[in-house]
Amino acid sequence: MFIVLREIACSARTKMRPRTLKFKVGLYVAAALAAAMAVFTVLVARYQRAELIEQASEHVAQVSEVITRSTRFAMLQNQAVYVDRILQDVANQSGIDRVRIFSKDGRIIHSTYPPELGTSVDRKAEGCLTCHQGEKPLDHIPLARRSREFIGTQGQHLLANMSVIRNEPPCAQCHQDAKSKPVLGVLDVVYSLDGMDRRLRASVFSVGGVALSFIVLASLGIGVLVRRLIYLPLRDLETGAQRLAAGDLGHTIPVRSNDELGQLAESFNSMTAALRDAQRENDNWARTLEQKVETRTQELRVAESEAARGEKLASVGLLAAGIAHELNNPLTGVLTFSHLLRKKMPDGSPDAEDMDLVIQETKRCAAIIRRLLDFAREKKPEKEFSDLNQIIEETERIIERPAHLRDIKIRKELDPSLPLVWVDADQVKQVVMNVLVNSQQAIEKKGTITVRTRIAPEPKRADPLTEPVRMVEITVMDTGCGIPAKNLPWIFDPFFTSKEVGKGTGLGLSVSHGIVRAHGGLIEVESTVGKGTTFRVYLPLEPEAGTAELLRDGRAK
Amino acid sequence: MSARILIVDDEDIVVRSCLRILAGADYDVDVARGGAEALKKIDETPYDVLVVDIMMPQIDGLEVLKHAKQARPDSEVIIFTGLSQSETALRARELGAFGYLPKPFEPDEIRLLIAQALAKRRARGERPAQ
Repeated sequence: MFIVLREIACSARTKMRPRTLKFKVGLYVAAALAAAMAVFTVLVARYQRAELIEQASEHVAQVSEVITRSTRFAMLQNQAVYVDRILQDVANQSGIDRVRIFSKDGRIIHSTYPPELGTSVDRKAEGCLTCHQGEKPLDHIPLARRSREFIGTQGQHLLANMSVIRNEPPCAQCHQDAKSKPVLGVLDVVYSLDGMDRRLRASVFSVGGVALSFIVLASLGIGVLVRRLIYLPLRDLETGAQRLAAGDLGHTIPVRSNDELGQLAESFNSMTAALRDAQRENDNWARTLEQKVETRTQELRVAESEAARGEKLASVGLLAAGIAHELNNPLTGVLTFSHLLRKKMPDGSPDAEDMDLVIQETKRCAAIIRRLLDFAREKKPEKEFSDLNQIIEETERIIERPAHLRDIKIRKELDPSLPLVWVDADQVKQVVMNVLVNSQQAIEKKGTITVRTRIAPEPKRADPLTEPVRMVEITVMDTGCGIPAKNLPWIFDPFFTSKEVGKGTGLGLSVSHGIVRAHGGLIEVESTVGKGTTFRVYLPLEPEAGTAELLRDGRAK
Repeated sequence: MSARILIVDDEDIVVRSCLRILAGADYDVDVARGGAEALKKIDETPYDVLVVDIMMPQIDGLEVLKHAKQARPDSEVIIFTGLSQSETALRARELGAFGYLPKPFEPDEIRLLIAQALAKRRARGERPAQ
């Protein structure tokens, strides 16, 4: 009930709030209980009334019987005063409204209510009709029908019982014989039902009160039950659903019972858990995807710079061919005429020295152009199984002497178990030479160059789009000046050089890079300014799949 | 009779260089400033040695070499080029060139090569049976 009230207050507050389940259950239960209680109260009241009326009827019948018996003697003695006295005494009893005796013709001959003495009653009156329906009055009527209920002149609720006074042999002293006149008169005892009505009303009130308190208690109980069993779980579900809709997947709702709503709550929780898992998985995927995108972007960037470098190389090739063609013709003239002029100058003269310089520098120009052309040509590697350690030994021997002169120690840590490698020995020699020369030039005075070979501890991929393969690793480590980080991305670009003009063309590392790439390998470099630089050249250990098959077929033939 | 030499190049400076280098020697030096002119001159005159540049417009040095070897099998051809490409050198060798000289060359180099070519030719001339 209190829920209903609260609900009404609530709906008054929110106005738009629709009638909730809580409200409906409360309303219907209260209405049903009220109806049941009303019916119960009415039935109880009617039953009680019937009971009381019956009791009253019996009581009045008994009183009537008592009067009949107690007045018998006075009647036989014809002592009307005694009869009156007895009637008066009986009528003094509480609840008795009046006692009266009708004569056979309907005249009131005795009454405890004096004003009506001597008056006659109409036979057609309601009270008389019980017996006087036909011509001949009924001789006998059953006890139950002898009493009648009616409303008195002053509005009192009355119950009257009529009993016939029969003509018996002893009556013959005063009355005619019994055969001609069997009934002498009627004794009418009128009983007031007002007391009974009061009791009945009080009873109805108390029953109604009990019923009302029952309804209140039952409503309270049902309200508590509805709240605990339905409202709270539903509210939990609603809150859960709202938070879920708002994206809060971490919220679980309490499982309050193991009934259907409890199961629903459990299902809801497992649904959120499943969603949570799904989201976590999604997040993981998104993260993985992000990482993949990141890696791919990185790889693409590398590929892009490779492509850019390749493009640069291609254009350098065209440029080199053009330059070579355009420059070599004039250089031919310069070289020829300076030689011819030089011949006319006496040896040792300043002019001769100048002209020697012109010749020397012209030759250097020619050499630069030749190297540029060599570089631009990009010779296809002619591979065969070669001993890498031997290649390194041979190359190292070439620079050993100039290195020694500059107090540079070359330390070799060559892996003797290194298998033969499928490379163009001349080109690899060029690479090793270029890297060694580079390292040597990085050392200003006194230092160490370490050359190491081994099989790379793990397969490497030459570029982001190829599968990793087993490679050999040539490490050239110097204790030179190092390369500033800002220069690292450019060191393999053609014409990039940190050496002063005239000391290098900036093609060595670029050529090396090109050769290593053509072999399906890669060059890595790490450097710390002031500490030194480490180049790692990786070359595939085995021929590419197609080549291997060709080789095998060739051998089979 | 002095040896007849034809210089074939479209570049003035190269032609002039060659002329100056060979000026002191006892050679009869002629010049063609392009492939077409060279072919014409080869047909007209039996040169002992031809010095031909590879890169020329329209008719290039290899064409001239082919024609010379066809029309005058006795003459020796020296190829020079601004592009020192081994493929071209190899191809020239296949077509019967005597020598290959990358530009820029030193005066002595061309002198030596021409002398060698003439020596070879002379040697062949002494043994006509070959």
